[in-house]
Amino acid sequence: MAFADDLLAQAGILANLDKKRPRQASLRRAVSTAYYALFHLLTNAAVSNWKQARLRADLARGFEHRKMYQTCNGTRNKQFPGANQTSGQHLRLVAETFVQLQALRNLADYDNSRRWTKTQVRGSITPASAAFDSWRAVRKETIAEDFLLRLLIPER
Amino acid sequence: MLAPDVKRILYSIAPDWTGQESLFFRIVLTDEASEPKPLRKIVLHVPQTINKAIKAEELGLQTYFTYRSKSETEEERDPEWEA
Repeated sequence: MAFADDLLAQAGILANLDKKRPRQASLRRAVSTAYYALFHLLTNAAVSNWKQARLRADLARGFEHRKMYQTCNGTRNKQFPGANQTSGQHLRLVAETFVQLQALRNLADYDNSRRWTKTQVRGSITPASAAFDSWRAVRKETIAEDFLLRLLIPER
Repeated sequence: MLAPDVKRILYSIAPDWTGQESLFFRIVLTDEASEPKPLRKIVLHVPQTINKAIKAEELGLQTYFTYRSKSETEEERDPEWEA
């Protein structure tokens, strides 16, 4: 199983770790892990297009959260003329989920005033899982390849 | 439109982590709708329905959604979720 899939599975484990009274640490780490699962799914897909395998890890370090947000924010309502309509929907869902999860991850990691519940956390992990499915449905399309490049170098 | 799964919708306006003014929705669900299986459908359906209703795209508004069950809301007694 790829690293991103492992992270997504781990997010689910953390969310359900404490049966009765879930610890905030488990819930907050679950949200953060769900975000990083999608982050690594996309960055890994992007660098796998780089021919020199030995340079892929270094290239992956070039991705920035804010630039990825910028591209996803511009993609979530974007139309793709000439592209398959279903593929466009899948890509918009991936982008929308990334934006949502990134915001939640910031709250989970840095906002100590906020309490989380199991439903809140499941409500974050479930879209991540749907985004994985959507990505796998669209990843071979030209619009997906263009999207991966824009995650690294946003459109000006 | 969202009944009977959605019990209450609350929202606040605040900047998100990028500084963009955003609408943060807090959705209270029935306990049945908060179970993993129905929740999967709801978390995809609710944002689409609300964004369409408020014309978020046309207004250029960023929206965020979080969910709690009715029991969790009662247990936590968090004023943000009870307003």
